[in-house]
This record gives sequence, structure tokens and C-alpha cells, in this order.
Amino acid sequence: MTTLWILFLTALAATFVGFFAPARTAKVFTLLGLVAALVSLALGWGEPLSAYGGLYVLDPFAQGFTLVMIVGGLLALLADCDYFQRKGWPPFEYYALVAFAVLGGHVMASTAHLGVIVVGLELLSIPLYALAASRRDEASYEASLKYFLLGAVAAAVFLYGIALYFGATGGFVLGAAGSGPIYAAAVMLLLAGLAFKTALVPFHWWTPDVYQGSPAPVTLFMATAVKAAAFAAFARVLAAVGLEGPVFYALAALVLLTVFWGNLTAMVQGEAKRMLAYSSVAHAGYIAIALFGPDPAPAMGYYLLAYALSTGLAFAVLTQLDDGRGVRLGELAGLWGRSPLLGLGWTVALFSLAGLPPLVGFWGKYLVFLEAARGGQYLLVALALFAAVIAAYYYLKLLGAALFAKAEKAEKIVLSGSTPVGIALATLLVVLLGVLPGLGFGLFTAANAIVR
Amino acid sequence: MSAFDLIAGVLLIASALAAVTLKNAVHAGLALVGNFLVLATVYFALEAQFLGWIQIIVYAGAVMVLFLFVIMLLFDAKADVGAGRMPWMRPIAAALAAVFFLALAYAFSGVGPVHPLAEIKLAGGLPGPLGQLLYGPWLYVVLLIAVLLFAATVAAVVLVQPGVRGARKKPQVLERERELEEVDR
Repeated sequence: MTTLWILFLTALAATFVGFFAPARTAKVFTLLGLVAALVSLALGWGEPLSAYGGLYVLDPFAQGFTLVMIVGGLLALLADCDYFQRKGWPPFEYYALVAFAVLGGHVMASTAHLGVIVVGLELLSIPLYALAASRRDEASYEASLKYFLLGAVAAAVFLYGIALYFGATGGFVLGAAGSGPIYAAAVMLLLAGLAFKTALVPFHWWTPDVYQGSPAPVTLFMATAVKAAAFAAFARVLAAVGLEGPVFYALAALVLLTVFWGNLTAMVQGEAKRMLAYSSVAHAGYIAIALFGPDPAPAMGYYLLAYALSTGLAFAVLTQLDDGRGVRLGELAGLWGRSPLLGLGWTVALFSLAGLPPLVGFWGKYLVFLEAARGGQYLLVALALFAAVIAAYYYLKLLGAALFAKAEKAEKIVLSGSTPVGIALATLLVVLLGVLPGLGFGLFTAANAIVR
Repeated sequence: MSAFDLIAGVLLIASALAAVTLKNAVHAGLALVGNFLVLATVYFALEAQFLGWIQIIVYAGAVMVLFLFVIMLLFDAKADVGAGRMPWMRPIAAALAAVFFLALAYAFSGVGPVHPLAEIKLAGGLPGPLGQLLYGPWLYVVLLIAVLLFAATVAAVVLVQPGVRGARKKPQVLERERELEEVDR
């Protein structure tokens, strides 16, 4: 309850404080609000809580996923320091929109009621459509338009799924018993709508264009917080439906297509943000593979945290390099020399995304693969591992572009404001949670039972 | 099947087809208004009176008027300007729509209503009993929708406000900057 209220009041305060104070104050308000939400989450950690007649369920599962979303929001706000100032943006509403999106994600993660999920989904998506267009150039508008059109279609598919679900079971709450072709159609429509948000192949077509065209801090937010919210709903729907028959094969096909298509197409990209977009598609496949296990929630939650920290760090570094036209691989050259902090963050982030020990990304991958193996899906695990090895190629290519290539520009990059804090903090967490994995995983072990 | 069902069904399908096929966007928008009006009468017939009136007021009265504003504001009535880049997409799109329709038709075949309608006291779907639900079990959703509408207002305002807040540059300066950027690339 307190977390929900704090997030709501944060969004409200960030909207109105900008009328009286400079945008920087709105940013401070939003940051403080997110930290307060984190604290309230920590105070009630592990204790399930339910309100509004069971429509709001803050169980450990929802707590874990909300933690990831808040971390994503914090990173996006900390890293954006100079990005928008260079373009004369953002107005203070930027921070309010981020806060509303986090609230939407929290609502979406903490319910088993389909009507609430769809409202949370819209509360998450609508601010993002505006945020994607916030750089005010053609690439940004195009990203926003594509995201909006496909998002609206996905929402319609999801809504139609809800209608059929109500028709088949007589209720809106997930977990009702159902059978027959109309129930199967409802489940397929629900999963298709959510697979769009989680960017599983073949519903990922918006991802590369939107990630590349959107402003870099917004991309950071999409890749971390939005993914966590979407996977929370996806996991709840799947846990309620059960993984049998056509649903099993559909999910297996989605996972295999996702890991291979994401990794293979990432190899041929020439631009860092687009490469990381395809990489995030592939990572969605790894997260989904945990759903084959008997007890997927802790592994998924931990993977999402690991992924949010690593990819958030990578996009935070790109935010400092991006001038609105994307970051060509050549522009990464000499990163260590131009700014040692950015160089260190970039190296750590890429090793972690590639899944090398002793960084947090390794433990995330280890846990999801272990989970799928516990479910007996050895072939799937082997193929996904193979895809993960392919992925090492382009992560090392990205790293090599920063480490070994001759610098095109020699001038130093000066980090200002909260940016060095955000990057240093994320780097530290990626390393620390990698060395002491129990520290992070302990947070998610309580999430074992997804409330239905 | 009564005569009303038949007429309403034919009108619904015909107006929906008109909305997606008419070349003039204003005509298509008006066809959609017609579709909403027929749909509202179907709601009345299904004992959802309040929803039917809301359908007319909000969809036909507000949303479609905004649509028509936008179409006329942008002089976009002629929709097929520059179309025909991929003419082979049309049959594929039609085929996919047919497949989707057939799949759903199969799903619906042989399925009766879960609760026989006669057992439920619909009370005509009037606002009285509906309010008991909205401010009872659905209160959380109503509150969330209030937040959603607020967030959507903020997002819409942000989306249309001009971006640069500093001093406005002269067109010549902008032109020169654009040329320099081209050279940069």
C-alpha cells in the first residue's frame, strides 16, 4: 500500500512542482520519491500484502519485480544529466512521465486481475509513447509512432483476450479453471499481447527501431523497467494457465526463435544502441526460458535485476556518447582514454551481459538455465547456451571497438551532475553482486509461489 | 435470430468494412460513427443501456469528433497518397484477416454462455446497479483509470508542445546548421 501511494504521490508531485520550480527540482523530487518507494518496499520485504478486495497483491513476487523497475527508473534519471540539456530539453514533465510509467509497471506486477493488468499496461505505455518522441527529431518521432501503433494493436489483442477469457471462465481473475477452444484462444491472445511488451520474437519488430530512435535515457528505461513489468504479467498469466499442450510448444518456439534471431541479427548491426536492442531481445528469451522450471519466479526476478543493472549501465554509458544520431562503433574508440569511468563501466557491463563470471550476469544466466534444467528441458537449455556463446561475439566486438580501435576524437568526456554517481553505483553493484551472488538472490527466494 | 439481430449484424459488418476500405478518410470516420451508433443499439438490446449511451457520448460524440478534427486539421482526407509501394500486401492482409476470423469462429463454435443470461439480474444495465459495482469491487480499477487519464493528459500535452524552449533561431541559421550536419555525415 505505502509503495503504491508513494509512487503515485511522486508522479503527482513531479507533475506540479515544475510549475513553481526549475526542472532540476522536479528531478530531485522524482529521485527522492523513487528512493522512498524503495525504502517502503524494503520495510515490508517478504511479507505479502493485499488490498482493494484482492485487486492489489504485493506478494514477494511483485516486490522483486517492482524493485527491478525502481532500479531501472533510478538509473534512467541518474544517467540523463547532460543528454537533454544539449537539446534544450527536458521540460519537467519528463520526470513525471517516468514516475507514472514506474507506477504503471508496479500496478501491472502486483495483481492477478486482468482488468487491472490492462490499466497498468496502459499507464506504463502511454507515458512511454510521449517519452520516445521527446528528442523532437525525425528518428524520435518515427520511434514513437511505431511504438504507439504496434502498442495499440497489442493492447487491443490483449483486451480481446480478456473478453474471451471472461467468456470462457466467467471471471477476470487469473487462475480460473477453463477449457475448450475458446479458452485456448483467450490464452493465446493474452500471451501474444504480453509477448509484444516483452519483445519476444516474432513480436519484437518494434524493438530495434524504437530503441535506436528513442532518446538514450528513455531506451535505458524501456530496456529495464518495462521489460520487468511485462515479464511480471507474462509469468502470472503463464503460471495461472499452466504449461501444457499447445502453450508449452508455443513458448518453446518463442524462446528458441528469440535467442537465435536476437543474437544472430545483433551480430550484423553497425550501431551500438541497435546492437543492444537486439541483445535485449535475446535476453528476453533467456528470461522466458526460466518459465519451464517448476519454480521460475526467483530465477526470473534475479535475472531481471542482473539484466537491469548490466544493460542499464551499458545504456548509461551510451547516453553520454549519443548526440541523437546513435553511436556508431567507431565513435566508441578510445573510450578508456577519454573517460576511465565510462571505459570501466562499459567493460563491466558488456562482460556481465555476455554472462562471464564473476559478474552478476553470469549468475543470472546460471540460475535461469538451472531452472529450465530442473524442469527437464535439456535440449532447450543446450540450444540457448549455444546462442549465448554466439552472443559473446558481438559483445566482444562492442568491447573491442572501445578498447583497441584508434580514437577518432581525442577530447576528454566530462561527466556532470548525477551521471558519475549513477554509473559508479551500477558498476559497483554489477561487480559486488557477481562476487557475492547470495546477496542479490536472497532477495528473491521468497518469491517462490506466484499468487494466482 | 430476430429481424433486429439480422439488420444490426449486417449494418455492423457493412459499416466496419466501409471504415477500413473507403479511400476518403472523412467518409471512413463517418462510417465508424455509424458503426458505433449501431453497436450502441446492440448494447441496448443486450440490456447494457448505460454502456450504450456512454458508447454514443464518448466514442461517437468525443473520440470520433477528435478524429475528424485531426483529419481536417491535417487535410488528410485523401488517404491513399503515395500508397501502392507494396500492392502484393493487400491480398496477404486479407488472407490473414480471414485466417484470424476462421480461427475465432472455430473457437466460438459449439460454445454456449457460461452463465445463462436469464439467471443474472442485469436490471437493464442502468447506472444504479452499475455504480454499486464501480464503487464497490471495481473501485481500485476506477481509481487507477483516474490516474491513467491524468497521466495521459500530461503525456498528450508534452507530446504536442514545441520542443525547444530557449531563444528561437532564425530560419537561415537553422538552414546553415542543417547543411553542416549533412557535411558531417
